[in-house]
Amino acid sequence: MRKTLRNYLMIATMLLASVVTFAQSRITGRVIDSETQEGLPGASVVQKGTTNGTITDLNGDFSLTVDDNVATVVISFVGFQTVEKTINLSETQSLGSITLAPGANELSPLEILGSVAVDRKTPVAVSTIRLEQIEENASNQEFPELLKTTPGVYATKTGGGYGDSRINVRGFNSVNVAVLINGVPVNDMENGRVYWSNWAGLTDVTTTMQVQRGLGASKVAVPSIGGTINILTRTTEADKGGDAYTGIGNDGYRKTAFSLSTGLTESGWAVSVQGAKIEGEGWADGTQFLGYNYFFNVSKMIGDNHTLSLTGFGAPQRHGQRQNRQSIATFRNAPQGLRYNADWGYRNGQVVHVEDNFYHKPQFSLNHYWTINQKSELSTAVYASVGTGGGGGFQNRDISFGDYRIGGQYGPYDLDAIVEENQSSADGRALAFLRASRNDHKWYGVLSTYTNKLTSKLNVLAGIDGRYYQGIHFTEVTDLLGADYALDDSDINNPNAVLKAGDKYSYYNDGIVLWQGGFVQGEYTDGPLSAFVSLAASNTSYKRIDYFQYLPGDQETDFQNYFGFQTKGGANYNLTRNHNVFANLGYFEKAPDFDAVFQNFRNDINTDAENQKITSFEIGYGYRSANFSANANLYRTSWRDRTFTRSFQGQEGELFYANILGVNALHQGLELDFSYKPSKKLSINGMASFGDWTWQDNVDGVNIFDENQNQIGTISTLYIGGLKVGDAAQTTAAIAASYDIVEDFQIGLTFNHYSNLYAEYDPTDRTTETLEGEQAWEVPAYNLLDARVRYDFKIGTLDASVFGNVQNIFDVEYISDAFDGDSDGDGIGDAGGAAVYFGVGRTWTSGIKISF
Amino acid sequence: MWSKNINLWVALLALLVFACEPLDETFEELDESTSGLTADIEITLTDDDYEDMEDFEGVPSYVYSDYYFADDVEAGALLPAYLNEVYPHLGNGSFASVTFNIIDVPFSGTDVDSLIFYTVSDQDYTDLGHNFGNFDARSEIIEFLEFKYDVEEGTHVVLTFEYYDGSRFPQTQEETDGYYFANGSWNYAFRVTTAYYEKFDRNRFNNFTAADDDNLPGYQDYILSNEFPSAVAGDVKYISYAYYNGSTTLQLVDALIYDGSNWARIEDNVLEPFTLSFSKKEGEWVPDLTIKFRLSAADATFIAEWKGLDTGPGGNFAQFGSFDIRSSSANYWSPEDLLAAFSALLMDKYPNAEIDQKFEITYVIYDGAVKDQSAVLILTADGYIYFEE
Repeated sequence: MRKTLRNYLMIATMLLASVVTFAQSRITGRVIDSETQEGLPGASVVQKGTTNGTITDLNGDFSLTVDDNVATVVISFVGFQTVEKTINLSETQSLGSITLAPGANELSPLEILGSVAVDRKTPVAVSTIRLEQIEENASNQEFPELLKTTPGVYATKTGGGYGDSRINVRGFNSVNVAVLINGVPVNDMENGRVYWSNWAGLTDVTTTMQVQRGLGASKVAVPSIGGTINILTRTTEADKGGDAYTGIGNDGYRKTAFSLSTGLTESGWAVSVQGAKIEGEGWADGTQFLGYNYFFNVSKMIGDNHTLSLTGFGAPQRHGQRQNRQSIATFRNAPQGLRYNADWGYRNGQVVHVEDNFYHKPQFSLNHYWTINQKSELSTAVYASVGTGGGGGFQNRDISFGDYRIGGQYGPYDLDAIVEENQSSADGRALAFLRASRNDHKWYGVLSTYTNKLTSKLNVLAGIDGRYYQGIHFTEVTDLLGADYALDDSDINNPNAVLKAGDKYSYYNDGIVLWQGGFVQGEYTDGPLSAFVSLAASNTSYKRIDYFQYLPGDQETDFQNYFGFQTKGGANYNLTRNHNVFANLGYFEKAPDFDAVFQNFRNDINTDAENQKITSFEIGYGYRSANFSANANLYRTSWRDRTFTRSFQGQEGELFYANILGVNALHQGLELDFSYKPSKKLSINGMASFGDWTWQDNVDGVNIFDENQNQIGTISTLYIGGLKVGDAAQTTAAIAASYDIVEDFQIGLTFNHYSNLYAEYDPTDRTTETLEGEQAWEVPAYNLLDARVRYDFKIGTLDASVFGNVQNIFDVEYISDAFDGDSDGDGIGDAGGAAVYFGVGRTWTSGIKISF
Repeated sequence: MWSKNINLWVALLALLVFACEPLDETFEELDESTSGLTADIEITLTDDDYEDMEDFEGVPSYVYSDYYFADDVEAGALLPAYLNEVYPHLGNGSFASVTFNIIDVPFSGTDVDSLIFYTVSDQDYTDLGHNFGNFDARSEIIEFLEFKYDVEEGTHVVLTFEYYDGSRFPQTQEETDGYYFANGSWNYAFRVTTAYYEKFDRNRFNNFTAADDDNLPGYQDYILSNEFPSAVAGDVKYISYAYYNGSTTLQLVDALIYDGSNWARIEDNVLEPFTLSFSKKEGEWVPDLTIKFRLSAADATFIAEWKGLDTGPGGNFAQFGSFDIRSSSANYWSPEDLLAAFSALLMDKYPNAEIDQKFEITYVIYDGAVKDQSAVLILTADGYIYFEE
């Protein structure tokens, strides 16, 4: 079981090294996934003992040209057991169908960097979405939504703007869900959040998405409390060719995409590029968008043992947002209905997105794979990412945007009227104007993993994870709306500033984060048993530079250091060919985030900020057979000492900090999923996820004293014991079925159920004793049905596919996101008081893809 | 294959049919309990609206025939029935600002149905206990008329009497003035004097004639402006004058109202627009004298500066225009903080507010999401407090 498996990149690099041969015979065949009985795209097919190879196309088909009359080919794919087939080409040229069964294999260097979990080996709960599923379901859905049929996941489009979707895993929001793209962590270095709008459109270049729930398989220290989402993009395409896609959809949705690969050039290079343009009006009013995405990869093999691969991708976009949630009554009263959006307006007859979002975060990664010897390898990624963008909004000064709407309270903002007011201002100042809150950043990192097979059973991995991050935060004037200038006095170094468009105001500060991490992992494999133990530690250093609130020389803080670590271990045992069981256990401490260290958005340092502590335990069971596979797992994650700090002013004006411990949550639950393929034409996948996520005991109130025993503040008792965690459906279920009506014509239905969804609230605001035990408003349960069709055909010699997708086919009205609020004065959240986003109604896309 | 799996498809579809509209129940509950459709409306009653009130219980006839209410108290009592009839669909929490007419000067004509010329006799003075054979206060004349005549609307008395006013003359003067009984009481009617007839070149017979019809309003304005220089807008005066219609000389009466600069003849009821607010509570419209407003940009600036722009909450509010009400926040506005801020604002904005005046202030909060919130404050002797029903 230690046959080398190669991914696309390795195939390509081997091809680079191969001598040009004369085609003599062509072997064809189709690689089938034993679980789904579908063709397996992207599997590698290599002539044994040579570097001659190819990968399977989207249908699992391949053809490989060989010199010899008798050839042995090695067929392999990540997460499947490798198969060898010998063929006598004088007898037949077709290998027919080759079925790959799931199983453990060695990972490619990229997969090692990316901490991909392997079925029946890595002891974590995992769901994997492959290229074909992504392609068929992508439509107008974003990364988080592609995972909605996996257990433990709650994904919504929030306000419905392009890129505004979000995901919670096991009830934890993105701060506590690690996201890795090709192994590179992308959670914001300051606040831990994941901004999916940075990656909108990158579904096009994704080959695999994997959700590892709970501790996950990541070796580096990442905030994997809820789970880890691993996204692997394309790398090098071995074959020359490409494809083009064009599609349309509801509300003016248009998408055009292409990809091209040079294949191997004579000079030994391989280049792949991909690009797309996506635009539309958006389902909700005022959410027009324009996005692009691009991707390239250049690979070069140097000698036999070194491969260099440069990958770059990005997805610049700008879109109108539905930023503000509204009451249910507002949506029902609004003439626009559920499409109502308060956050846009008209100027000169043109739509202006008062609340918008624009971002571009190109990410470049230079990966070096070094096969040191038979036993050891070193994989290193050096990466850089520069993010530019932010979110637009309005700035009221002497007049209020809310007073200027066209045709009443539900109408769009009347920017012409505001321009008129500004132009009549006595001294030329802006009475109101448009701004953007900018969050630019520069992020450089290195991630390196060394693997050594100490013995045939014991594997050791060790590595480093270094990061430098600079976040640049400011507000800028974007449009003076007809005024000559705007006034601001928030910069003490430039009081009474006269601002023009592009000038910074209100705040301007940098957050510098240094990260030094290291990890070591031992993996033991002996027959049916595989086990691992891993330890990762990291030092996080924070520095804040404030250009507005401090005088030069006093603007920079010292670095504040916080030490975090994670230790975890687990084992998988394959009881039989069909049954396996696994368990894992982990404990980690996570450094407090930037704002817990620097209080009040100033250089006020809370030196005693506490680590958050997470303990997680999980057991799982898996069943695999030719046409049925299933998983069940139980988890228990204890999240202790959620960051809860307050600052108080002493008598002399000095600041004191209280770091209150004891805000604890327990997330436990049961997750089930299955895949069943009763016939060649029908396949059914399903899952059910039952969470029990609650805040633990009340946190007693305390009085805060300074060193002279003067009371300087009080922290009220938090009445949180037994409160359900909000913001994510605790019960979810899905059934997806696809059926081939005729050859090459497939229809699919996906049904999703969500319940036990409580409105979002902040537990540290629960200070009223009479409300003890009162749950937040429970959002009504809802069910959604999506449908799709796919038809594959030939245009001449070109492969073509037509896709059609309808989301929310019954146009169900439902609430996807709610923030708790009370309308009848009893303090208990209710439907009347909740601020909500309704989910989007029926949407559709249709497109055609032609490969050449 | 299809038939073999048909059960699955049917089961799937059945599941959907059962749970297609997840929010129906929520919508129903909302409609029943709190809000449903709520709106803030502003309406001005039209003639048709008054006529529609004919069928309502207890509505006086002048409301639907002459389109006015006696006063704001009557309107406050009668309008809820109208709102319940016309706006039953608006839910609790809705607010209506209704503008309607109240009667300022009722007018039932100035026809002189009965004209009496009378000179007060010594016996009359004695009967009323005036020992000096004169009147020394205008109110005594009204007393006399009430004593002397058991009269009906339209009675015009031109009265000659002895009058003592020490501030004007040291001894008693004989005066002749008009009094006109209208709307249930005697009203003084200035009798045009010879000097005015002379002024308008009508002193030959000391009367006006049909030839003066076009000019009479101007003459009357001149006369009353001259006679009542300290009149204020809304004052009503009667004027009595002799008029030769071609065959007979009549003694006519007109009513005039002062608009602040001119006197104009009243020819119909004088009505005044008045606005009352109503809100819907527990399914019924009730008068609501709360002053409602949304924080303006100027109000926000006031509050931010009052709190202090260098404080966390003040600076944050100035920046975002929303009150951060998360107690975990460094920029936290507690309910007490908000009350203090609103009190300061109201004392600045409505310095003359009376005790028990309520204000409903709508403002923007941030509790993780940006949304509107309202607070009702009431002025007590100890200052503003949150109003609780």
